[in-house]
Amino acid sequence: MSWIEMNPTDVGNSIFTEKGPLSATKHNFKISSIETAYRLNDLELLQTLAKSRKGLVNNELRRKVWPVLLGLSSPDVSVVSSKLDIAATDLDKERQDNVRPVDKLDIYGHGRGGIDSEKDSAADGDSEKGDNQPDDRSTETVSIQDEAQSPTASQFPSEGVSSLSLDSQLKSPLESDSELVSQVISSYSLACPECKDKDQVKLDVDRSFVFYPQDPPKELAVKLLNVICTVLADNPDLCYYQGYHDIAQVILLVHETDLYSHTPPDPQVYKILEAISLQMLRDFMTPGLSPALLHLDFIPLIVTLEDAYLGELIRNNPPYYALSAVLTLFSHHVHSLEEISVVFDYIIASQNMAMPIYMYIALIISQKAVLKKAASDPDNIHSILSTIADDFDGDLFDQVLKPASKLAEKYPLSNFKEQHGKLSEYSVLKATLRDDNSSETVFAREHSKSVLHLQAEECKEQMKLEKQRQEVEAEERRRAAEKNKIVKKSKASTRANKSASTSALLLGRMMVIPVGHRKLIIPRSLLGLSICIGVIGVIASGYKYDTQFSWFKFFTRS
Amino acid sequence: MSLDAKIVLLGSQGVGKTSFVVRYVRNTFQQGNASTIGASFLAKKVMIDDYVVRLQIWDTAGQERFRSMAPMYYRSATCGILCYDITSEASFKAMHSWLLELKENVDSGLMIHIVGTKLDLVNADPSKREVPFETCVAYASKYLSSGGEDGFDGSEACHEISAKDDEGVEEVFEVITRKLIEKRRMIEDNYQEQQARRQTIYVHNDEPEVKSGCC
Repeated sequence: MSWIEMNPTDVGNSIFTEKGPLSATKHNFKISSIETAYRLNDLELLQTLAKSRKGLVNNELRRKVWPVLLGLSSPDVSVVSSKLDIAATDLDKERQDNVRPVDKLDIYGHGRGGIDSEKDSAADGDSEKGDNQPDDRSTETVSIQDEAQSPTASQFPSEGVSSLSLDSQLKSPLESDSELVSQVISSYSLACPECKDKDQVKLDVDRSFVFYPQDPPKELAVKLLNVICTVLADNPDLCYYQGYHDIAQVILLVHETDLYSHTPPDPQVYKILEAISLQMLRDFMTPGLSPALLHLDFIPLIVTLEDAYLGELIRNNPPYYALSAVLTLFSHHVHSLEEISVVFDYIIASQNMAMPIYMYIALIISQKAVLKKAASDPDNIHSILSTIADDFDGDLFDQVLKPASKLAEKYPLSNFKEQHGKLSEYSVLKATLRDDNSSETVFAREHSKSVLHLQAEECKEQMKLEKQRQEVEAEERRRAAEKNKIVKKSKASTRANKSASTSALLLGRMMVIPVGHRKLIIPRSLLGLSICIGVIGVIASGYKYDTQFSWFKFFTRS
Repeated sequence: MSLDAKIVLLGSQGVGKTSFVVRYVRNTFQQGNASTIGASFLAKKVMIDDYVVRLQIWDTAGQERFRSMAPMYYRSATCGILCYDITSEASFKAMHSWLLELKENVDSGLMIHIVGTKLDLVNADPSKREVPFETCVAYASKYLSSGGEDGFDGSEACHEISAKDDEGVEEVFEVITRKLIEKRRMIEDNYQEQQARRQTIYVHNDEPEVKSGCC
């Protein structure tokens, strides 16, 4: 057992990060290493192994290790996070109760136990009602799938009712078990009232499982909807965003041992998704988008430091191109479940939510040649940057994950004081899980729960301010436009004056003298001349005032 | 001659903006396209008359949360396509807020077209239609008309398409491209005219100077 005496970190580094795919021996060795590290509860070693090639190797190990990496199943944590655990055990119990065949579908409708017991009694007492309820749920399944008949739907006789919404289905049991049911209804509609999340989630879930697995069974979408809605309902401060479903989808698939089973999702799926949402994604789940955009602003800063040429090239493009990759932890762009799971292993193990940013930077740097070729066309640069994650076909581990870690060491975000200062105090970039210290991990978890509401409130406040600012701006614009109109008008009038004076000039400086109703137009020079004559006349008449035609004599005297 | 045009697609989530663009650019259709996050970009080159037109199409996300990003895409756009689902009146109503936003933030030079999607659903079952084409035309003539004297009746800015059956997709972009070319020609003509006018003005400008010297 000589390998155990080596420094575990070195083992992980030297053996599993070399170039090229893992050999069969290394593969097996890695599995046993992970299992040993798990048994020893060695967080540091687990992190190192998860961050090496092939990550946690298979889904079975992921199911074991992810909770440890997220601080969910360490013994210290269970005490502090009692609330979540209690909630989770409740869920477990409810789900265990649910395994009776008739009730299998219930979980797809709401995921809570209260209704099942009611439905049983209804089925006993009133057979017609009992038949209708599962039928409603089956149609819910169908409506989510919209294409073809789900195998579960065919278990139930009539399929006429198709327009029933989830809420209306939940209303029927309300009569006898109002408290529990209303709780369920309110928790669904409360998930994030202002953005009507449930409808949005439904739409996105409908369009999930595009790349994997092959021929996804219809149940998967229903399970996904349930998982997402449950987590959102439990944490009303979390706001759903498009792309969250991509992440949830990976977590669900990692935990699904039998894709075609009708049993509810593993309770751990909820816990993992909740932990990831709170500890890693909460900046993206605020009521507005701006905290997420602040993450992206680091990209051009770091690229410029790492490669001045590239920095210059991308300088004029706002970093929105990275939005979907960062927001979905790359799950929107990596089209293989195996590869994206490795990426998730990496991000979760690194316990640093800046990792997706560094990954994107590594991606940009890896595509330098392509960008260089397009250097002459700035629009092209934009399009390349926007599709960079989709078009990537290199080795993710060598070209993206490994370089990302190096970048993270080289350029910690706190180095960028100005940009770092813009982050909220509650941002995951300021308080992600730190290092290997488990007590800190606990702190970060608890921290994430407690700051969530504050962060949401802060974001709302910012949005309000932003809205006010926009209104002020719009008002200013409107005023400026009006002013512009006036200026234009006055300009037009000066132009008219100008043209009038020009015509006057052309007319030879005419004068308009009103004579009765008519106007006498005479050249101004003529008027001047006549005035001159008049003045001379006056002088002349003063000179010899006694003579009637003195001025004439004045000229003829000599 | 070449021409670059930036087109931006706006509309509620799930109306089929991505399907519409993907059908046009790649001529494929997928029942469940992955949701668009933020925005996605597709480009296509087309030849019309003597012009090579490079269409840069920005397909935006429908979720309200990403709305704050939209100005960055429509501000420099030459054409905005507002999409709604003809089987959903709500999506048609939601389109109005986009139109108001465009009018508020972009100068009147932006060309706006309205596209109703999912025509195949209505072809298969006419009762599914929630927005009659006439409603859209009336809407367009009310809100998109520039003043009335150019004979604009709204119908030329309204389209109904099916990305699934490839119906009307090509036409939308052809109409837009032709309009852009026309606009470009007008600008060019204007420019030439202006150049000519500038010369005549220059001659006029000389005269007063000579006169002032004389006085």
